[in-house]
Amino acid sequence: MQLLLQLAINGVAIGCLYALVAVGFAVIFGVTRIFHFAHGATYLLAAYGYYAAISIYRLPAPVGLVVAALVAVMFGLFCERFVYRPMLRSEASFLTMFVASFGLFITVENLIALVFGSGFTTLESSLSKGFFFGAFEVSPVGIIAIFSSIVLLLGLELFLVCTDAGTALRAMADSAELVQTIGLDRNRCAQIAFAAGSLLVVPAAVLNVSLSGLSPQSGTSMILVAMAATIVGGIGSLYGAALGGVLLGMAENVGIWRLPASWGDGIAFGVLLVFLLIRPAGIVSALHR
Amino acid sequence: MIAYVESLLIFTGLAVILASSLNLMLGYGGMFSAAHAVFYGIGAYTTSLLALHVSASILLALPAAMLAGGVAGALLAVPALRVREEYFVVASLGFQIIASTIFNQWVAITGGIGGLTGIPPASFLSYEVDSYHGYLFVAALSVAGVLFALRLVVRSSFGRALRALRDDEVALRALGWDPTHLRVAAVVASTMLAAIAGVIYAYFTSFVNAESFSLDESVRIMVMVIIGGAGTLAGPVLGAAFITAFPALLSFLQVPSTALGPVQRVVYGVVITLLMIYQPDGLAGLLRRLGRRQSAAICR
Repeated sequence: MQLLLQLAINGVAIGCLYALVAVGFAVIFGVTRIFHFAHGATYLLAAYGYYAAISIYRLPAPVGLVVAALVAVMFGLFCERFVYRPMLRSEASFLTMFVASFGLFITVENLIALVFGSGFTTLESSLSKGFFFGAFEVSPVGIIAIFSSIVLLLGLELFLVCTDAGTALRAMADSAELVQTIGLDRNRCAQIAFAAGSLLVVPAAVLNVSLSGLSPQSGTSMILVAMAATIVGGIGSLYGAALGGVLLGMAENVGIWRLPASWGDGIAFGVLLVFLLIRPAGIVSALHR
Repeated sequence: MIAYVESLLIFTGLAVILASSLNLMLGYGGMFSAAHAVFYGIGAYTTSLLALHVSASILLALPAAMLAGGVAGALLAVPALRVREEYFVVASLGFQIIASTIFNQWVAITGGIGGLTGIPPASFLSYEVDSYHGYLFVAALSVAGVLFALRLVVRSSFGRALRALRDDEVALRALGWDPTHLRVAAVVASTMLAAIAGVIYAYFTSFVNAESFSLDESVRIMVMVIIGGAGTLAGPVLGAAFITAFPALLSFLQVPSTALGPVQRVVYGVVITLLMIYQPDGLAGLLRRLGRRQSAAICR
């Protein structure tokens, strides 16, 4: 029983990181209708950017964070400007965009493997050493993960509700044509969505380096879980995506209680398929209706 | 050298079967599946298990593998059809991940990571297929059979209804067709054909493990269809040939062997991204456009 609770605690910490990646994906998808699979590449770039700054160039952690954020946002904007926008102009189908995004992901994943090697790396820091809280072991990184995801998601909510740009994004999520009719720039909205979505990945990438390590292959499972969380949570709902992320993180970790650890991804997607069977519209719409 | 060319041709044949069968659900039915390698794998595992424990007769393996592939296809179709079409792709990704986990972990049946080894060569009545020529013949025959079957299906009323479903579901309902039945039928037909490729693969390589049927392979098949041109009969054939020959084309690159894998994959990634941006209707579309330009030039 105690082991189960311990696994649940670990699951919440990881789940919060999934939630950040998933919400980033959901923001981009909601506003632009682009299935941004290369979001996983954004995650890899941020994580390796931070890793390079800290352990190769020996820069202080805040500088590493800024490097990671710059790399992530620049890559997001690059994708929008040079890959998706030319395709939207020629009214490419959903599938061509998805495959292009996949191509981008494969390119980045393997470039990183070329530069940093395809092995597994970790970043030892004093923060990843756990301490005991009652009978349970908690790591500071896990606590930071939970708090930073709550703060960032509240920040995103404030941005979407209280600023003009946020209102424009919400309007575009409803109807891109209408946004254009009232004279707002569609491309600018898309750029803001990509920048915001990519920025949300940064804390997840940086913290996960300390929490569960880093390899070029980790981008795939990250983006897969994020996409699954978006659907489990309810299509088009940011809260749903966040909730879905936490749920999948929990499911993965609690699953280890009875199954070997290599079943992790399988369990997360088992949850997805179960949801598709019983609640195809996701958690959030289930609460609303 | 001849053996190399022959095995390249056999693998191209398998790729043609996989891409053309996926095209039935993707190009004609509008269902974007990223799980096609699962059915390829199920065909291969069924064949291997039968060959190891029962009989290596291809007459037994072929129907058994197709049946297993079709049943698995129905399993994919049921949850996946409950979501909007764009999310079918994520549901299929989920299906692929779960299947990969099972292929890797269910050691008693699949041999786990080590896979199944020592699969005997295929036998047909009393004849044993044990040469590259033999497998090339079997592969060529299967490709012809699959393409012929797909041509019949696409031109039948079922095929027309499927295309109508992709383009306008409401209109199709008005004509009295049931979209769910159509979709399930398309998925099952497509996955049954994919299992055929698995049969030949298992006999030919005599070794089967989960790595050959991973997400990467599913995406490769999807890319073949898109790059060739979805919704055309010739497109997947062109795409399959291009993608299979691709690593061979890259072998002239002078890179150290340790970096060869990542370098090849970087080039692969860049090429598919660029093709999607500049040539979204695929190689078939490019050829058609060139042909049109030429005929326009002749008319002038």
